[in-house]
Amino acid sequence: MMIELNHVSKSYGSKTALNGVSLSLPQGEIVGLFGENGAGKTTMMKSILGYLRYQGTITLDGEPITRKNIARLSFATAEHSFFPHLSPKAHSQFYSEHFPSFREKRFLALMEFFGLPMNKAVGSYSLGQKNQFEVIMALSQGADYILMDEPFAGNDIFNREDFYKVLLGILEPTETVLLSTHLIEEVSAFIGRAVLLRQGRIVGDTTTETLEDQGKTLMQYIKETYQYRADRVSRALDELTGSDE
Amino acid sequence: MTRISDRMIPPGISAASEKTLYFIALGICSLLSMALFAFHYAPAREALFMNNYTSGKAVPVLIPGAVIEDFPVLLHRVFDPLFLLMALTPFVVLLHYLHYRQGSMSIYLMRRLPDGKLLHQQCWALPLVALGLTALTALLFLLFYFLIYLFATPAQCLPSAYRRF
Repeated sequence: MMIELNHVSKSYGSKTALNGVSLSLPQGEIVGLFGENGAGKTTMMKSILGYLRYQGTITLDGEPITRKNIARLSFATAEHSFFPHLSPKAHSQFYSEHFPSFREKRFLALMEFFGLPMNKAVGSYSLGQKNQFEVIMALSQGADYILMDEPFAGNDIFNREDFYKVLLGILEPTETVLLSTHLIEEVSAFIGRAVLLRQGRIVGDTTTETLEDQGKTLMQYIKETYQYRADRVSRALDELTGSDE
Repeated sequence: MTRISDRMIPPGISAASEKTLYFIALGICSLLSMALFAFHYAPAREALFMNNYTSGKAVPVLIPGAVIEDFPVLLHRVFDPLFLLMALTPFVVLLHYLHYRQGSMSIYLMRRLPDGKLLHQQCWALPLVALGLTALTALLFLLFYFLIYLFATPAQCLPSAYRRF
């Protein structure tokens, strides 16, 4: 079972957001998706979910993604996709009615773990609570593929660490997570694979096991792949201070 | 079990509030329509009479051979308030679609539902019901105004086409 992207391209006017991206996401992987702002991470996720038109093909177990199989994908986004005027309890009822595999037990357990009130409108939560709720719904939908687009923006470090531990603990072997984030060092401990995007193309794709064998950290791998120049800051400062004189 | 109302309005919008607003608007438009009809009909009926002062007081007397204006003429702009209410339907539908982008992007959730019709049902249902009710109200008022025209106008002053009623 897998999601497959085949030569997927997407442009917004004259700007190319994705350029011939081909990628396979097999069942059971936790994949970190990394890239600078504008690299195409969000565009890739939204293309998989069918929110955007694109060239190329995206399939789920060989079939196009349609209303028949869309429930196998869930999505947590920093933009938030919940109903702000509804309570978590009402969300639970909605999901139960519309997603046949909704995991109510997991939902209740996560709500209790994060201490989120069940009967208060989600729109009145703090930003951190909204992020937590967004992720809880994505994890509880009963999807096989959970796409998360920078879900932790605005959450404190303790909150995020709690979350990573819970995530690792509750995910089943059949569940796949595609997580887009800038928090490289934080997630490196729990992802199994890292995909790097740059200017709409995949420039790196490796497993954490391979990096371990090579004696590299994820951060080192990313810096090498992006040809990050460690001296760029000092060189820029030299130029700036030099021009002032 | 999904209630019918869950399928007829976007989550978070109060169906009760929308209904109340609609019926207030319908009430106001209905009153305006009746006022417009009265504005056209009353003077047209009055024009059928002249005052006779032989008794020392003004007594209205039918003008011989006077005929009231044709019914459609008296309906000029009478239904405009109700038509205006009907014309608001696309704006209400648009507001419903925009609701899914307010406070969050719940449109992402709606577009992931296996039931692809739900989003459009929630956006269109109540406005279409309101459109139908308004159209029905206009038809009922048309009948009402016609009955007034037929029975409040002296029979001999009706145009010949209406006398057979």
